[in-house]
Amino acid sequence: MDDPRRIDAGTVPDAGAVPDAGGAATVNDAIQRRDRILIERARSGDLDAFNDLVTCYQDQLWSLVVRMVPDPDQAGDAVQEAFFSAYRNLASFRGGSVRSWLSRICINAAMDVQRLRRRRPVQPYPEFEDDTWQPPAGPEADPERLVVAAERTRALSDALARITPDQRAAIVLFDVEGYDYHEIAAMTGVSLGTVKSRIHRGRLALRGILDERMELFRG
Amino acid sequence: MRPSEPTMHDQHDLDLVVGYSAGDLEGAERADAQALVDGCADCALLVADLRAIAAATATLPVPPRGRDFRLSPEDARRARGWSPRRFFDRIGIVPSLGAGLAAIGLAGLLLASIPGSGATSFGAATTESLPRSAAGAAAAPGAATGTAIPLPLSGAAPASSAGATAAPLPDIVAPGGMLPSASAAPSAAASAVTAPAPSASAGTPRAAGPPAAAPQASPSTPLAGSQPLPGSASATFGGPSPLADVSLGAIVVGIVLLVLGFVRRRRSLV
Repeated sequence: MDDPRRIDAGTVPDAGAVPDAGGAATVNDAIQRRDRILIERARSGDLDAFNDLVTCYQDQLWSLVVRMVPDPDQAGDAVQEAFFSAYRNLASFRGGSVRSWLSRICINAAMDVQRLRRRRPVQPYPEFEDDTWQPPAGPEADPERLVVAAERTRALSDALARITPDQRAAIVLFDVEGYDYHEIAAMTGVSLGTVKSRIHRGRLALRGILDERMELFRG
Repeated sequence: MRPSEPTMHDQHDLDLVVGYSAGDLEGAERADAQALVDGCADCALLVADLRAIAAATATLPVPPRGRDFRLSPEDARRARGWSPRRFFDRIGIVPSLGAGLAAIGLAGLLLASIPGSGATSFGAATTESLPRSAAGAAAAPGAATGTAIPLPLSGAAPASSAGATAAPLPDIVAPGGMLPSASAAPSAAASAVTAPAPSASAGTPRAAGPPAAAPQASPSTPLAGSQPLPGSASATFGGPSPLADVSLGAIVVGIVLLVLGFVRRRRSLV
């Protein structure tokens, strides 16, 4: 069952500026037209056109991959490798959403990196262990809430790093990136039931890991 | 809502509760889950916790992006260039393995098809060198008397020549790989293998028994009690050699791996 609050795969990077459903469709069309033009130019050898695509999507793909790969250095390597791969495989793009296409390549790169990471374990999310690093604060933030938020972020990040990569990828794609079950199934090459199972069991595993610290998340 | 006993919650269907928390249930399942949540404080707490975790995950801050991922002209040149490592990275390990297996298989088939290479089918040359009478006597299952020579024919060990005073021909038998199996033969035949064997070129000893009494072995019909050598894929002379069998197997497996790898690769990129 699709959640109506979820956004379409081709949603614009600054979805907050979209006024309504009709406006979103219009902007999506414009984005897709722009992406198709850039892809065509990149296919003909225009590196600047490809780099325009990189500029459009690197923040989204970074935020996707850095949640799937706890080590930021490795996450950066995965994103860079994904853009390399996309550039090499421009000919394999067969229309549709460029964002989804790039996301799929990034997911593959992130999974590859995590396979390597299992052989070389690293400290997950080291910046969250660093007390000097804080998440961006809104104007309404007060010191106490910031401390709680930072602690919650640290606990959740640590818990995310401890569930399986498949579960983590499914949860990030669903909860963070806003893809629906069908899109995640298509991206990760598994069945709809497997996607749901990974999300459900991943959340259950997170709850088990966070059992002692659930007060950070309640109320 | 009433507090639940721990044992009761342990018996509840957690998958149902988790599905309910995600809004994935409909109809009877949803009603069942709703009943659990309404009647069990622990189930209700689980739903609230799962939703809180999902909400917190959605707002998890992103560490700052430390680098620009745009490609330089040098990057682009390297990305479009060719190198063995990139080739294998691009193709993938499974298709590479498949291509390797298929190539080895093709080479093996080629080798097996060269006459006189030693890798061809054993049957032709060996059978040619056998006197038909000897072959017939050797294949006679009912030659209880007389001197039969347990010559291999049709890939069958003539172990059924009970009571025969037989001499195996090492220079013929060994290349064919069809040594009579003493253990599988009747006890009387076991003594036959101890007799010295004249070479084939010097004249194969004739069967003392009447050859006509022995039915001619069919090239494609293994005899009872016959035992092919280990490693021989086919128990018949004239069939494919082990090398050809293995080569064909390698080609088939290689092609399957190639197809699987390319399909998987295509699915991951398109």
